[in-house]
Amino acid sequence: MRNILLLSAVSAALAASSGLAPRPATIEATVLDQRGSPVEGAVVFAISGAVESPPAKTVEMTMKGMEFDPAFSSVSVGDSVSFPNQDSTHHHVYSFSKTKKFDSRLYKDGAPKVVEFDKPGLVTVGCKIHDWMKGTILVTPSALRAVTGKDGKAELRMQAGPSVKLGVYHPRLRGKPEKHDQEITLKDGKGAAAWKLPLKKESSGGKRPHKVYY
Amino acid sequence: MRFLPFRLKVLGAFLTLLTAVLVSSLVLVDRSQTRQTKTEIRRQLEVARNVFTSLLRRRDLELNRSLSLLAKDHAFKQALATENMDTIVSTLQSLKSRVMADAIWITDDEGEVKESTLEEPFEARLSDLPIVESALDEHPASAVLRLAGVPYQLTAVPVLAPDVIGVLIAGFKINDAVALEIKTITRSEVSFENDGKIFASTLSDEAHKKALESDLASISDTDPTVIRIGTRRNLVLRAPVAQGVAAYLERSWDEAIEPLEKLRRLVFFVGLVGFLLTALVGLFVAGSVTAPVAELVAATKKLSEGDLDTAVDIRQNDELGQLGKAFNDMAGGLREKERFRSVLNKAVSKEIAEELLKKGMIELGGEERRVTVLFSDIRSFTTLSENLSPQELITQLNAYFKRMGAAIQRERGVIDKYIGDAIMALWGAPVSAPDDAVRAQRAALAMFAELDRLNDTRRDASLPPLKIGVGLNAGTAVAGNLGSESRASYTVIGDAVNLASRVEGLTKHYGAGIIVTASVREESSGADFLYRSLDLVRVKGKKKPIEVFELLGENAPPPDWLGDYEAAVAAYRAGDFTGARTGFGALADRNRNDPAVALYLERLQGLPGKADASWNPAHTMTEK
Repeated sequence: MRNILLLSAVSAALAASSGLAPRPATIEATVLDQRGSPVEGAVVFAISGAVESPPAKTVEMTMKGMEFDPAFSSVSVGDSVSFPNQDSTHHHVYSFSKTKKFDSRLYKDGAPKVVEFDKPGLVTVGCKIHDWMKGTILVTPSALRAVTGKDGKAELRMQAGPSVKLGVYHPRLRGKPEKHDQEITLKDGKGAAAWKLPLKKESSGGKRPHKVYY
Repeated sequence: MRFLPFRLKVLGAFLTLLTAVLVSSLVLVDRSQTRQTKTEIRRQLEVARNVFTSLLRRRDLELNRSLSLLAKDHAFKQALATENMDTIVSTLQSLKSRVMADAIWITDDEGEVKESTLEEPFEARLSDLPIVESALDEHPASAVLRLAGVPYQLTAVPVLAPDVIGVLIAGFKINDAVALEIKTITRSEVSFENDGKIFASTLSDEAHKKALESDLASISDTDPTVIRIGTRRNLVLRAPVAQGVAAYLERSWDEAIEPLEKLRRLVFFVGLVGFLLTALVGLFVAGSVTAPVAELVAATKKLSEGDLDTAVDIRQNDELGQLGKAFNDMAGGLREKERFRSVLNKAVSKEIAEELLKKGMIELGGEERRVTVLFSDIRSFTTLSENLSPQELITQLNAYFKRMGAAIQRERGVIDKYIGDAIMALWGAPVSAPDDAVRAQRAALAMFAELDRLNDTRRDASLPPLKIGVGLNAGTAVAGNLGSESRASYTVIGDAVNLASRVEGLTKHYGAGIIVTASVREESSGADFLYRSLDLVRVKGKKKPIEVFELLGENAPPPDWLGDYEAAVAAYRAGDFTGARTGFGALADRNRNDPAVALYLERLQGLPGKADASWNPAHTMTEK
């Protein structure tokens, strides 16, 4: 309910500033990496624009084999993430992210830690005990988001004014994601967005070799 | 070529050889030792380099461990995430003093310095350091980097929460303490260069540092390089650390090479002693050769100057001793030869001469010997020579003497002398043989045979034939060296010799070829000679008459007239002049050319039929 209200307020504000009523729009998004290859699994999301949001839900990020599974998850503002522990060892979930700081107690069995995300942004989740465990949760302002396929393309459908602000994220994105926000102008309810993202190399494993420069 | 004493040659050869051996062994030892020393120093310097590298690694590891511990501390992470700077500063300071780091700082998640214990202002942007970049990429990293121109050994570790929320960096200055630590372990001098300047070193000598600094460019990373510090030499190996930063590990070459220097001196000393010893021994050995050689040279010179009494005194039991003995023997031989030279000149043959000398059979002082003397003469030689040029005369005479001499020597006669065209030959001196008289007569017969052959050739050359007469006498004569000291000649003198000469003179008178005296005939009893009686004759200067015979031949059958002839001669001597006249008359009828027959017939003319009591058949020669 809050989400709908929020979005309505944003849409209203946009409509007011542009002086145009929101209309249905389709945006074609293309995500390439720094070398121009299509990027699969990038999340393209709307920062503005309106959509009929589904009710808030709870997603699971399981701790299994001393890793988060999945290691990346995207939710909408108002959604919750639950961290069930399937390992035989204790875990202690925490986040220092500005989007959402939290700190669980040490737990193994019983009720998992559930965190509700009330701000959009990126949240990095770690385990106090196991340094290498890393989970990333992208909290988007609305449910208006799509994941690119093998061809690096995704399609977003929404109600929008003459322009819409889009964000993009990929678990291997280097640097701050806000840098890649784009304002897309719509024409006849259609728009196109393209990104060239600097991606880190796919890590071969959990090892981080010590580099010696002499 | 210049005269070079043998002694010096030997010595020169000895010393040259020794010097060559010494020098080559010195060079070889030197080279191998130098190489070995260099290898040893190189090994030590490489060890020092390894120690240095491992020291850096160890420090890096310690630092990394301490930093990682802190970076993993949840409270620290929380403090960093919540920017609780007081906590962070005190934590960093505590860490710094605990690990004794020279620098420590922390960055935010983009590498910008958040808090630092560094005092100096830094030229380089600390966020741009490659190790910080690496740590931001979640890789801990280490490097030697220059901060405000000072080399630091730095380690950076990321603070993960679990994203990189900051980088923790700490490091040590590379300074004298590091150098000293390496030196303590490796005992090599250590210096650190930063852009051509030595900024840390174990060297206390400024001149040394300057020398090293000026040679930096030439120093190799792989092969130790020699640098000179005044008179000293060091070997230096470079160990690059970072851009513009390198370590120089140094060991004294002089110290390392000192044992070799000692060895060199020792070899030189031994060589010198060996040289002197060799010179001494060489001189002695060469002397033992040259002294006797010099003595021999001097003696040979004296000998060549005619001093035959020269002898050398070399008492060495080696080849030189033998040579000395040989020389003395030779000189002795020469002395002997000189003494017997006159005899040898007359010796029939070399073999006989040697035999005579060997047996010492010749008495040069003079002795009575039984000899047979032969005289020969060319008849009417004076007339013959008148028509000849001197050259022709000499040529013809020599052709004659050659044949006659050969005939005499074949019978072991000794040609005593040539007197004009006359030959005097001897048998029985200097050496006696039982058949001396026989050989003398054979020689006389051979002379006539040779004369026939000579005359054959003369006839072919349209030259008139030669006629000779030969007289032989046997008797006692004195043999010995006669004459002045410088020109002594071995010969025989005495009546027997004079008589032989006289007998030769008779040949013309009797028209006989060979006339021998009775003594000759008596001494050749063993041989089969054919004679005929010529006469009883009283030669000039002799009172006593002698009987002479004409030698007709050897081993020949007596001719048929010989008996009648001897009978006629016997009749004449007995005074039966009639019988003799008849006998000789009959012989003359058979052979008108027999001069002896003609002589007797002439003598018988005017003699009565029979001789009276005063008849003496001996004929006295008034002519010579």
